[in-house]
Amino acid sequence: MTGQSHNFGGVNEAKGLKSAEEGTLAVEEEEGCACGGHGGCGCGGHGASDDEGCGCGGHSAGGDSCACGGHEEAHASKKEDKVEFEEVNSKRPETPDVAVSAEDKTFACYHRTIEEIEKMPVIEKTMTVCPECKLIIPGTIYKDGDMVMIRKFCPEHKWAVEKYWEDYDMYTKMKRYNYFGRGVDNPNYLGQGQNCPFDCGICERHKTHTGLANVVVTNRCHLSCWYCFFYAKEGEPIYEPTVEELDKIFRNLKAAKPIPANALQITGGEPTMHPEIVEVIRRAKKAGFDQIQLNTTGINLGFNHQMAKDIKQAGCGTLYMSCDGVSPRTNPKNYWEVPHALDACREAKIGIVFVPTVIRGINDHEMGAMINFALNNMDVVRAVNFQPVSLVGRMPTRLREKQRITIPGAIKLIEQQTNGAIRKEHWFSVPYVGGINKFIEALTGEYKYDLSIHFACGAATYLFLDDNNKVIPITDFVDAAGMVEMLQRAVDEMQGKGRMARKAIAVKTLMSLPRIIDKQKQPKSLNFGKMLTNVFLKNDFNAMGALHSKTLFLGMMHFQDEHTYDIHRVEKCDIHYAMPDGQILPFCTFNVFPEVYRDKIQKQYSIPAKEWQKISPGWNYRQDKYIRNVQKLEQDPLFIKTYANMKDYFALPINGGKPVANFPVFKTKYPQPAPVAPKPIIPAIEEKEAA
Amino acid sequence: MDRRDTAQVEKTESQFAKEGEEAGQGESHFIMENGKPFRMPYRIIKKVTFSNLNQNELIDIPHVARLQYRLLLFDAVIKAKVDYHKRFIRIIYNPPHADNNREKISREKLIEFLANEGVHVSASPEDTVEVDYDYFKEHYSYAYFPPSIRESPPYGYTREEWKRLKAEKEKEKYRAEHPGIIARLLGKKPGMKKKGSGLKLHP
Repeated sequence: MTGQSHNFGGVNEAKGLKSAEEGTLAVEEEEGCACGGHGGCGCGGHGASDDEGCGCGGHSAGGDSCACGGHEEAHASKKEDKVEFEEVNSKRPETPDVAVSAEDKTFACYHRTIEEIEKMPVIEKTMTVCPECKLIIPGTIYKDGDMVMIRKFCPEHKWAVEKYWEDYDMYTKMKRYNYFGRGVDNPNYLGQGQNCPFDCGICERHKTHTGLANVVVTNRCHLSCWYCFFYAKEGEPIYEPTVEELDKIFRNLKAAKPIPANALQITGGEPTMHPEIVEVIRRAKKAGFDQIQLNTTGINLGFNHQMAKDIKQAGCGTLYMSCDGVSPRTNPKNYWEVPHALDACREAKIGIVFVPTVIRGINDHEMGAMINFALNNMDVVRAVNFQPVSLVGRMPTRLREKQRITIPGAIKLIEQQTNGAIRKEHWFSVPYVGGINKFIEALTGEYKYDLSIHFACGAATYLFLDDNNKVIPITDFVDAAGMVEMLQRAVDEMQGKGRMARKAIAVKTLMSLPRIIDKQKQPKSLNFGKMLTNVFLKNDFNAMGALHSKTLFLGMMHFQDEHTYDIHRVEKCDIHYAMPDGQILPFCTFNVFPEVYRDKIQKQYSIPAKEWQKISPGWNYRQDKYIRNVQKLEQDPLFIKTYANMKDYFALPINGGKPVANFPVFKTKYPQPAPVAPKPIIPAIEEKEAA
Repeated sequence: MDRRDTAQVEKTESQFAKEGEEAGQGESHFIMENGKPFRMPYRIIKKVTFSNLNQNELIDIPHVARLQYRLLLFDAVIKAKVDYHKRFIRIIYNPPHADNNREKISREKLIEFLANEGVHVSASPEDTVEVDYDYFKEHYSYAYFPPSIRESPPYGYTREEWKRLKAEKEKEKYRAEHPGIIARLLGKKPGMKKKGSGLKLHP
């Protein structure tokens, strides 16, 4: 029996949940979800098959009954067979049928004639792939009104157009910070990348070192999300490297030159299902990773506080936790378990990054509410990292058009939903940070972490919550653009100068830093100028750690799919997967072409199901699965405390006084537990008196 | 009992090696490094290179890249490289007689596939060279210990400036790490303090 199964036994016992063997029908949610599903694997990528799911029209509608109306016989026979559990998040729900009008601004860009499209102003040329046959073809990025689109022509499959970026002004603003990094001096695969992206491994053409290394520790998962290709289904081989194999992968990542990876994300499947996850984290820490994240649903840790403490002690500081919304409808994956995960992390002192995958028409209306939820739990939540959906795999064109959302699209919705408190001007593209580390490198002559990714891949901002509950985005009091220009000028000036001259230039630059900070507007609890000077004087980003602890980081990371594929983006990718055969692969080759990378290599190193059963006596596929008891979870005081007592920060007069869009109204059909009478403060004395 | 208990791993390993032997697959499931087992899907496989291809059949670089992609779709093809300019195709594949239980493919099948894709390879021994390929030594070990192929300077430095600075930094680092050797070179005992002028102030 695996360690995981032991944990689950513990969980069920502790929470009073019945196990599958006891015959509980897992209740998925209260109302039946119509969400369309979202990735919470952290990757932002989900597959979609040709059809639209079983079409049953819903999930278990609370209690023990199923509302699907389509498979009564099947359900009845299942009950008879005592196979009465339903895998969490395993059904594809129906997508709301929104009529698509050619005049609608959101969709008009898809429905033009080729003659009209060819007349649109061209922004730049790139190389892309045909979504159908994977032929490398030229792509043209062009302006269509306010939109930035990509068009491509395959000789066999003709024209294809897709949204690239939903705001032209933001595109031009972000593009200013684009620059080319140095790549890796000792690439793991010998090749010049002529046939990019099919020459990956990583080759000498790649332009960015590993910024965040992903290592898959298992493909077993306790959920069965309908869109996910990443977990082992019944009878499929198990990919679960041993601690020694993982240790070797970690050391390989640390051997990269000139800048080894320093941030590691341990992912899966569900990584907490690896029986030696604590030891894995310990080895990663020993290998030299300063920042170790666990990409998880949070369910196992939520019900096993000791495990949370152990992983913290081993070196994991952050939980990268999928959380797609603040209602059961938008977050069928772990809505009920999130309060427990928050509690466990509070106790273990682990920071949490919420990772909502955003799908238009599904959960895009709850982005503001997600930020508000994070602000309510700022003692433990460090960041919200939105991931606009990556529509990998085959799916109907119309559905793709409806669900597509890009970074600016999401940013604009956040502006609407937060009452204008977080506006699009507040966001900067990730390579913006390059200005700061270039300055430090030029000053010290030492390599610094280089976030030279493509500007279209990510955007970010910081929110400060002041003492009076005012939400203040960083760019409200810092002239961020001015700062980077100033630092870039200093870098140019330093070129060719000696050490002393460089230091003099740096001092002159640092002296003028206060000019870019508006002290009147900065949060009262913060001295940003001092903090920034510390960053430069300490010559590393440790001082930024203090910044993180006082703020909420908002990030956007948009992974590509075959339709939006841009080779300029993939060759600058800094989120890499380290594989057991020693190769290192950018996220958007690993996940967009799984058939030649992810699945292929993992299959090579997997253990066939039969062999796995031999070496894991007593294990079976179902044992891994999580059984949810909604009634128990909704009656839990922690659940009520988390969702019923939420504050709407954006409704406060200081933040505009307009409630955040779709502020979750707490409701449960289950009776609330009677309030427990407070215990006497000094029971011993009172008991004595009573006697 | 946890499946990763040492005793069990050893038992399992030998058990599978035995099973593999019985099935005529040898002990190629694992390699041992520092006494620890590492799963190794392949050992001795094949590398075939088809050269002097007709460039018209290769069409152009995008088509060559797609051909490479299509070759990689075979589970038995571990790596493929199609070079348009040098007019060759190199395929590392798992041949039918290989000592493992993974998917296999024959050279004939590959040639047939290429012909279906419109690329006809020559049968002459000069143009079709097949050699043994040690997956562990040539692929796996390279990926885990890749040599440096260049040296990029930090931002704000030219290559020449960086060469000078690097030499200085290395010297400083060496001095800090080996104070004894430096002291000996300078004719001092390690840990010896700098002498004063010899003058003492009387109280």
